[in-house]
Amino acid sequence: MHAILKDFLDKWVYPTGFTGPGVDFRLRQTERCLPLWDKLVLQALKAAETDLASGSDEYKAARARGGYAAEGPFMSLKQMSTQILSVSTDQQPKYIDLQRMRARQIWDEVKHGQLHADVMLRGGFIKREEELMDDPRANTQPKLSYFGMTAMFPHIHPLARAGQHYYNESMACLGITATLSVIDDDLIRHQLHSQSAEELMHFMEGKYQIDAYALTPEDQKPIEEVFDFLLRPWAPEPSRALGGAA
Amino acid sequence: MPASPSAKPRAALAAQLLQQSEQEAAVTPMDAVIEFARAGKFTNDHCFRLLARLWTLKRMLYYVYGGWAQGINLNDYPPGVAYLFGKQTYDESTQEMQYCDEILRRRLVPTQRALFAHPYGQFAIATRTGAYIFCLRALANYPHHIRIAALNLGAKVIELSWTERFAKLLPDESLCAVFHSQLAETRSHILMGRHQVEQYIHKDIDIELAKRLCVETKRDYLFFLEETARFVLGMAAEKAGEVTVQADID
Repeated sequence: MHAILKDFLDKWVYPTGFTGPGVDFRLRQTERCLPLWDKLVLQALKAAETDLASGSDEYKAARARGGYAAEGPFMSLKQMSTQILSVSTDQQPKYIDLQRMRARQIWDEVKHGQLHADVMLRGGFIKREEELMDDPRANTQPKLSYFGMTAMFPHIHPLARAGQHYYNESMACLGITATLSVIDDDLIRHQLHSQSAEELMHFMEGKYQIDAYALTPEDQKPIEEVFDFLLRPWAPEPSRALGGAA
Repeated sequence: MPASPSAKPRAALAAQLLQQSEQEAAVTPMDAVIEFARAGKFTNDHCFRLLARLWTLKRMLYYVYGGWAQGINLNDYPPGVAYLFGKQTYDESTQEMQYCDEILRRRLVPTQRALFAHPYGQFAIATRTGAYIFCLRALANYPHHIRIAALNLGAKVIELSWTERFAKLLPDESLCAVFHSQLAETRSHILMGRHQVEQYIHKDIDIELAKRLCVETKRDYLFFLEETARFVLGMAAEKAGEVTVQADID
């Protein structure tokens, strides 16, 4: 296991203020995630080294465009709004915390879009952010199904998103740490540092939701099915912004 | 390139998307199902698996089309766009009911409620069916004419192709009738897709998005067909990397 992953596990995954079936369930899912998280770290390191060795600044633009495609303001509003809607009115007394966290995440994600745009602007790749709206690379994600799954959560279960939070937002954290360990470019480092705390917050939301709410097999089932999907060999890979190939 | 493509490039885009999809539709995993049936090996259980899996996909489309319709706002488009999409939504619903009715008519399950409870009629998230539905649902993030281009000039063309073959070649007359009755509707959706591309694709970015999203949507649909054919024929699910679908974008 890579040291970056081990450090993340020791600091954020294993310590918890909860005990009980939610934690037990989460730790079982964690075991399933570990090989993929480890692979992600290695992939992010390799991608960062390849980018540095490219001898060109184009990698900065490629990462920023990929990030904008996933976290640009319009895409963020679309994605996060569907998650807010996953709590029906009769469930609100139980799950209003989820809506509060996702409302905060809407703001986080649109800010991340702005950070990617900032790389493009300050890197001299564009003159105005609006130019990105005319670039298909900044408006198409590597796998539509990941984003569409998010949009289906209102029809599945309020806690289902916790699977994506836990599995994918951890990848964001690990990808950022791995990339920062290699790339010394100010633009890239500023962008990654500026969003890293929020990515960690999103991961911790998933962790909290599972520990605190996923206490019965009925509540665990929709989350486990999301893990099943994400862990399929053909499941979505990390975006270019995090060192993925797509 | 000009900021606003003239009618000619828009017509060319529609023709290009159609042509590519028709090529990909020439051979699909569903051919194996036809051959199996024509060899006289199709049992009631095979029939149940086929109808139930197709029904499961169609019943999940309510969540896709509902999401798409919510993304068409007042005066985004002329009224005709809303009429056509309303018709397409109802057509898909009709096809969903047809599959359900045929399963009930064959007494494969006693009631509609029992079909929902039967393992063959389950929607499972971690499947290619799930991935295709999620892919379509994600298209709600894009303007309506772009997602219509992706679906109606992509996966719909492939759907029409295998449905035509089923309607013509399946030995079971009532099954043929089910598929035959869907042909006019699916053809109309493809024509609607061509019309919308020709009418409403006004920007270069829209052309590129339509191409990319069409490729991805077709890829996920072909994987859905692969999973369906394997399920119908009782074959093991695909292994990692065993099945690949061409989906070059850049």
